[in-house]
Amino acid sequence: MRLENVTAKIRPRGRWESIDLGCAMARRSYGTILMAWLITVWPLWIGGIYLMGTFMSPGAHVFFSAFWCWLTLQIAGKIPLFVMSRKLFGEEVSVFTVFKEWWTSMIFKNFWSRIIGRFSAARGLSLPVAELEGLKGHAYKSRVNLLSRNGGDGAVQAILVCWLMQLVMIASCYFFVGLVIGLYGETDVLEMITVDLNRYGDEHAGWWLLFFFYLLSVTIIEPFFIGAGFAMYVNSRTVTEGWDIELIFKRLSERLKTMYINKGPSRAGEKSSGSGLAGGEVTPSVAPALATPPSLSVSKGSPAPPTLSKAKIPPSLIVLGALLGMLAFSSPQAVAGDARVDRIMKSDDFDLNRSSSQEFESTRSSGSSSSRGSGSYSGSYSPRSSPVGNTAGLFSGVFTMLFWAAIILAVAAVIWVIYKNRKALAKGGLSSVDDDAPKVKSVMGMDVTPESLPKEIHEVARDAWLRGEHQLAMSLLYRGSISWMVNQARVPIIESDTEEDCLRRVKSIQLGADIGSYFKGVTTNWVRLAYGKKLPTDNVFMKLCDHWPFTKKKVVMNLGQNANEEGVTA
Amino acid sequence: MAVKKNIEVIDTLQSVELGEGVEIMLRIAGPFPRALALLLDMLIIGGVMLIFTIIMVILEITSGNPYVAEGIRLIVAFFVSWGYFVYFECGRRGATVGKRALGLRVVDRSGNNASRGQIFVRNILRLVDMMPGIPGMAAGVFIGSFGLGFMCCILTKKFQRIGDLVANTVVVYTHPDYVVTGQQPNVEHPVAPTAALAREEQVAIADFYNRAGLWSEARRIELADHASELTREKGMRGMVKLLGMAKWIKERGK
Repeated sequence: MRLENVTAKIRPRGRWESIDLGCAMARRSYGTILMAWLITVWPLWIGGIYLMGTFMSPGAHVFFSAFWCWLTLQIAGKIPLFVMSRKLFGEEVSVFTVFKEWWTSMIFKNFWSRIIGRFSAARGLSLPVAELEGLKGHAYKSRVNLLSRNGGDGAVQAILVCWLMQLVMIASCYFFVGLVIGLYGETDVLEMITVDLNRYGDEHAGWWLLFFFYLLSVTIIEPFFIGAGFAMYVNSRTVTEGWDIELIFKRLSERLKTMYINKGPSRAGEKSSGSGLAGGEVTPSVAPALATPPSLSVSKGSPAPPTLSKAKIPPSLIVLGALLGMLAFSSPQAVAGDARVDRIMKSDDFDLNRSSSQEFESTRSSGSSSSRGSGSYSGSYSPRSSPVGNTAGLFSGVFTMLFWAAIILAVAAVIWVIYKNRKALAKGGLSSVDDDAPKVKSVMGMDVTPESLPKEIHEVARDAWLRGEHQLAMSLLYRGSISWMVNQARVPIIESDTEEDCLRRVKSIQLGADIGSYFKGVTTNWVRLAYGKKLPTDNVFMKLCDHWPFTKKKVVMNLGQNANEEGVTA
Repeated sequence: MAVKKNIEVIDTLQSVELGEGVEIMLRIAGPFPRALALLLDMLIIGGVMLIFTIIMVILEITSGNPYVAEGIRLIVAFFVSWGYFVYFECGRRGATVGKRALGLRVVDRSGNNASRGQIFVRNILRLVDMMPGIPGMAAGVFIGSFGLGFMCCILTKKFQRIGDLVANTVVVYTHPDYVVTGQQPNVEHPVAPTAALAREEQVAIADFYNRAGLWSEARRIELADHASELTREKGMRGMVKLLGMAKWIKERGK
């Protein structure tokens, strides 16, 4: 591992930010990881599942297969970790390399430790400790504890979010399959599939499907989870060992070494503990002019203050250094230069060189205030236009208008609803059936007026059925039922109601158990015929005709007094 | 075998170049904190709806008329499920309750406050991000799995879901950058550096001082040895000198 080759910005990060870095690392290598996962982890899973199938009962098979895959997940996590850890230090790993490593050593290394590690709540963080540092036993435990206290404290939260994401993916798989094959609402199709699965397939087909979706979701999510754990591990080591500082010091030494070499042996050989100046380091060629070594004692016993040299720094170089953003402070020697630099830097032309940090202000009021010279900017966001912003500005203008239009419409809609229902609201409650309910003439496009139907509906339907006109026969029964509900029982069915709505409304009216169950039977058979093209059997249809309740005599018998009040005799 | 290549350096701090050539850095939040924030928001919405439904059921029973109560319930369900995000994100903190709990907020991709239009668009498109789901709004709320939004979020560089991409927004952290400090060493005399230092190098030396208390003596010396080209010393003397330089930088920076 060479820290100099690191391909991510190393600095101490907060809990969530380090997890974000892990996600970014996983995303960068996602293709390689998925391919490698497919040819390493999936064969391991499938092999285990196949072996178990040879001696287990079907019920135990699905259960133990799921357990096997769940248990080996920590071993599978080695794949993303292998790819990401190498890429972090500048090595591109091919799928073939992973494949070879996996089957020759990776899978067997610390096999049982990883199985046990599966049960750890902080497994995301512990995996890199075990795999990359090779620790075991007590040393491993104390190391994980140390890292989790220093920058790795998000490990448990990460696993919780990981579960959430897995649930999301499993639900997505179900919904997707539902959308593709089932078309929600077409309950018959779904019913047929379920029946077929149970009849011809394994009775545990549902469990197998869930298990397969679990494996899919794990394949998609696990690289990000392992990436998060690995990034937390890197973050912990950055905090506990100062990786970021080590990295910058190494680069600094490298830079200075190059600079001294360019300066020549006389300078390079200088071992003075001198204070040069921290003016503007521009190029190695100007460095000699900037680094005039004064004498400085830093002996432990009597630390003497630095003795200043009389170095003359060409002001132009200081200015140049400042322009390059390299001048953050100057040595005491450069006081004269500093004054000039300050003067120049204060001019408006140098506004671009201000480093800025944003702070979210607590109010929406905007306005910019930059503090000159301090190099910091803690004003609010001033609304600036940018190339992206210009286009977005146009869109946002349009959408702002749409937003307000939608708000106005919504408020109007609420007022309208309240106005329409003012009677109900004023009374605080109405009788369940509105006497003034308008009679509808058609429901779902079907004519439901009494005039459009024969008098003895069930007899006519029976004849039609016997003639082979099944659709007509069934529609007569259904239409007749709806017609009776609308015109006689005053059920508040409206034109746009669906079959389900009609059922719900009838149920809410309390017409009696017989009528309710009869209407439900007619509706079910009608829906099956109309949408599923599934005919009821002759026996079922004849029963429907025989039990037709909507004749005057039967209705009086069935409904009793309450129904009579509803105008059954009409 | 592994091959060394020039791989792009990644960071959670992402730069955005504004129109005037100004570059700003945004700390963009990833899918993990955002998922947790969304879960919190959903729990709040669910809780509100549950309480409201109970009230409406009581009203239904007492009034005997289910239709008005049902209608009001559906309208409220619509406004709560859609309006919750828009209302809070349009607020001065630019964040829903869940986002605030996680220290997040929604901003324009340039770092400015997102406009109301942008907030509206990103939340209207939440419906697309919630795909695949169960069609139909029978319950007044669309039940989606967020699969599409999640995949989009993990696969885009700025962790944007579809709504963010269209509305040109990002979700960023609001709290200041993470700072680690330990017990600071007692350094009596500042020492001026022997060479000009870049800003990043000065920050690293100052950090060495601030975090020195976190490391063992051996590790401090080891780190200081990496900067021996600057201190021209090794071992303990180098470390003391480096700490002196750090003090000098810190004093000058005040």
